[in-house]
Amino acid sequence: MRHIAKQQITLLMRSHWLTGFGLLFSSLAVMVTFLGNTGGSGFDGFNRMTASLLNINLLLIPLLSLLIGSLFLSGEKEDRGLLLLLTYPVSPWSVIIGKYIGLFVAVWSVLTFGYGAALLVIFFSGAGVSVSLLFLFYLYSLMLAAIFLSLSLVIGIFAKSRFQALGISLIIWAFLVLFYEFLIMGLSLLLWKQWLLPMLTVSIFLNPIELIRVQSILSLDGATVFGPRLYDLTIWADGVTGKTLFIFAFLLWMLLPVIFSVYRLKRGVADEE
Amino acid sequence: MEGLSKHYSATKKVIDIHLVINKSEIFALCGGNGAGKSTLIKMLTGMMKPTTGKVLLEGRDLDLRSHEYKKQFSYMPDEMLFPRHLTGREVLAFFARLRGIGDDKVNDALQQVGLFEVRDTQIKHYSKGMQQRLSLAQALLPDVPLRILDEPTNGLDPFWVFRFKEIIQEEKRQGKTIFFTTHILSLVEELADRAAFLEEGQLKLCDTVDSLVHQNGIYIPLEKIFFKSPS
Repeated sequence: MRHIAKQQITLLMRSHWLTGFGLLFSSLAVMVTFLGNTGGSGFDGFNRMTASLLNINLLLIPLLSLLIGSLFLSGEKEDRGLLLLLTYPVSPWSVIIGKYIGLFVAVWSVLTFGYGAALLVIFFSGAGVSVSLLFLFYLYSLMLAAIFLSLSLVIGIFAKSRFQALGISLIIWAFLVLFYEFLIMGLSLLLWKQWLLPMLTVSIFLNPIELIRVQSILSLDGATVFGPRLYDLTIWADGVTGKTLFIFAFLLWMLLPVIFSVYRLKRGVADEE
Repeated sequence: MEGLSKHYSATKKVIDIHLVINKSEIFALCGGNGAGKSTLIKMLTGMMKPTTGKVLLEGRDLDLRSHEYKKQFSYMPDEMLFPRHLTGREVLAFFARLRGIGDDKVNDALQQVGLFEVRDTQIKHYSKGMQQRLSLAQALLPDVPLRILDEPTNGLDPFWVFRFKEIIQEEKRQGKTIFFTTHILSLVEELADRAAFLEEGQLKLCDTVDSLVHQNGIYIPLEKIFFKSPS
């Protein structure tokens, strides 16, 4: 597993993908931090800067994690590297966990670099941005990457080519980031009023992006953005039960795709060809 | 291989094989496109689960996906593409580490396939033939009793086809069993001890190459035997 993880990190570090992702994420993080500081709108809690940073996290990290993971894995399958690996005395668990660790370490290094750069901007500009707030965002970014890299493994294992992996990744990303909200809004129009809150609560757990979005906003004491109708939800979600369920849901989103990928690999990826 | 078969549906059976490969022999499996060679290789290497049948290794019925079975063979895939940004040495070192093999063996394998001088060059600068040789080096790395080679001479220039034959003969002298697939029947005649012809998933002919090409004291090339017209 260690050798597979190391190999994956080397591959990612040498590819232009990670450099591109790193540059894009760092420049956006620095820009948002810098421009967020110029508004004079206060820096604690949910404000312009945190909202922008949250949006970058929620849009960019899922997309890039899905793309990097699925394209690398499907590419390896297309080039027969994965099939060759399966003829070696290594277990499917070692292959998947090794690849997952390698992917995560690579994305983690990019996120650390991006947030590090943002921290430097804050330090040199003498802005009053809370470091703990930035750290919280960093933590949520890593959680997002952990979930979406895990999903990317499933896509990579199932896709028959890089192009198919690209297509599936984009569809999943677009659904979770863009269309899911419309779907929930549409559903809420059709449901009885008393079903609204339970439905919205469940909908948060069914989409990892919403899960992280809601928890990020609550962590920033920004519950007011949800409006008075969802006051009960924010109280519940911010409590012990809510936090516990959040961690549980996060672990499920991270672990289930990994387990599923291992199961698929055990059945034999060549079977589908 | 005892009744090794693969069914994609109740009606579509792609392969059904009974075959014995002797220890320390070079066995060639021939057949046209879609004959089932790749399917057989995938089942033999544990990449694909057979619908029925089993593989007995020195009489032992092993699970084709077990570590114990996978430690008995090495495999050279057909048209393997290695990661472009790694060097030849890095690729081989990775595969060596997966089997607990040291770096000295990596250098030996690179020497054997003539890639030692370019060991620190990235794969993106390798030609197709060089990648094929690297793939062969990967299969030569471990000290295992069986080597399974899928179209091993694809993309090799005449000199390296010649060297490949020398390497395989040397492997045989060391007691290794070689199972390879190919389209090139002249290679089978020169290299293999026994050969089989696969057609639509069924073994049509299987014998020693000598018996196949010498019938009643007359030499008949393999292509005439394998592709005999119905008339």
